[in-house]
Amino acid sequence: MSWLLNFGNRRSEATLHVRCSRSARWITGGTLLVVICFNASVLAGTPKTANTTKESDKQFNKLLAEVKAKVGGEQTLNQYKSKFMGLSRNELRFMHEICKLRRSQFDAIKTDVDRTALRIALDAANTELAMNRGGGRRAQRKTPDVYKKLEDGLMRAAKAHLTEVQARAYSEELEARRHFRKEADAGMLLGFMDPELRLTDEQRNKLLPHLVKAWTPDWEQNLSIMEGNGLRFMPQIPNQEFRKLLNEKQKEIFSTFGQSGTIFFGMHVHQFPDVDLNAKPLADELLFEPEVEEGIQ
Amino acid sequence: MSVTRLRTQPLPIARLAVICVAFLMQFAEVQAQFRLDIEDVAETIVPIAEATPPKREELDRRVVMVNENINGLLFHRHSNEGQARRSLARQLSLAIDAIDRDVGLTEDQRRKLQLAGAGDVSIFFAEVEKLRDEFGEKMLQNPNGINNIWQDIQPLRQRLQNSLFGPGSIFAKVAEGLFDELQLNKLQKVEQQRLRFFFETHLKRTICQLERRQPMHAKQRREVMKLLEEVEMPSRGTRQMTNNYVSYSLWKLRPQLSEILNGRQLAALDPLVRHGVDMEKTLREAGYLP
Repeated sequence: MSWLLNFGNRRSEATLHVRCSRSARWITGGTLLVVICFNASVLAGTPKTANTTKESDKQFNKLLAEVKAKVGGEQTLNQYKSKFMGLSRNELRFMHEICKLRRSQFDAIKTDVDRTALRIALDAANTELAMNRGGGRRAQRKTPDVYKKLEDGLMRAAKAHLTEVQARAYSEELEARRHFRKEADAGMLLGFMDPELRLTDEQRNKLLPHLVKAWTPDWEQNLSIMEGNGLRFMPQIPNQEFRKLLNEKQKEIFSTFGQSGTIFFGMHVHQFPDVDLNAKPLADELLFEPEVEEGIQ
Repeated sequence: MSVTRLRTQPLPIARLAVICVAFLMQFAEVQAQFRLDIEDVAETIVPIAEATPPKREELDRRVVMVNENINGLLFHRHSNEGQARRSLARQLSLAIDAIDRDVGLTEDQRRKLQLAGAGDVSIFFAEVEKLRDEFGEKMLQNPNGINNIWQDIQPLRQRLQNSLFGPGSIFAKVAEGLFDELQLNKLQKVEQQRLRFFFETHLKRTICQLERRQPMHAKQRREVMKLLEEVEMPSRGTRQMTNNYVSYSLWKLRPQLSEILNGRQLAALDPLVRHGVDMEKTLREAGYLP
């Protein structure tokens, strides 16, 4: 404070006192403002995140209680649970083959994925029960893509527990699988149209990417119905782009194809394959070498 | 009294009572009338065993119902038979144009193909008429006879969906006898390209079904597709038969597939393709196998 006092020697004592007080007030005020803002952001952040998780758990528990209360609810839920736990376990093993997981990573992801599988099973059981009672109009609006929900759940768990390299490797495999599926469905659709449209090889190769781009998960139901019922149940496709690649006669015939849009004839547990969780070598303990467990670096 | 006052004032109880009594009396009157009609006609009801055939108007209504059912099940895409016929005419024209594009047709060849296609359409509609007559007769005897119509109509639906001018049709048979060697080679090459597209598509679908049970790596998928690239395509075929050929080929190539897929994946594939081995005779007859 001596430099301040020396400085103040040239001024009156009163002036010095005022200058010090003003500076102190500015410094104190500024510091206080920063502290308040910081605390406010902390206080604003934490409760919201906690609230979202709590809200989600609350909704889950409420739906679980509702489903169990329905006639046949618990049985239906258990059937879906065993199917989806099996599917999620298959996916987890696949992830291990791609990413070479450590035991700790495997166990952490398994916990998350089991929870995801249970949520999906709950939604599926609720949809089936609603449709069986004839009150499933809301369920009929959109085909639930169960497999995508499972894959998304796995991807979230992968991002949370894996290294960047591991997560990227798994994500690329998932993307490749999805693209392959889209190509298969788009090709099937062209196959249904071909006997009438008489497409050339060149047309098929040009139309395929358009259909792949327009693909939605709903197509699966449409395609399975079309196998026995023909073009009446064709899914919605981008007509404008499609028609540009057809000649005039093909366009006339194309306009007679019915595009029925989303079809959802219901959810049933037997749509999904069985997986024996206890069949060797599926058991978890056989996946890891006892001595060394190293992930991808 | 103003309207506003009328609306706000409750109806007098006496007025309400009068309305209720009037309603009940009307209801009772209707009931009485109903009882009266049944009683009037009771003596005229004939026991079922002695029932006489229905009136003319009733007969026509049933025939109309049969026709509407057949039209709805067969021609749902086209609204009615007339539109279906026009659509088939366009398909025939397109089929001939497609062959002309691939191999080049003379005027005489075009004319013969046109006649052959028209023959296929005539045969098809003759079968539809036969079905109408058959079910018309059934309906006369038993109104519930319409319930079996789906079984009889399904083969006709399949033919319509798979194109009337495909393998086995008069059109296809005339086309085979019509072309010289050069044209035939060109046509076979185009047909093989088409069947190869169906084959690869259905192979991809089968792989996708397998992946629902046991996921595969991208590398495994590529290797499976490459393995089946070597499978030869016939010179003619349908999409459905090609689907069966995929299952047969996967079943036959199991030893090679065991080098690409692991035990769990092979075990998951087996139920999807096992039926392929039962199709051997059918595939041989359809020209898919030597």
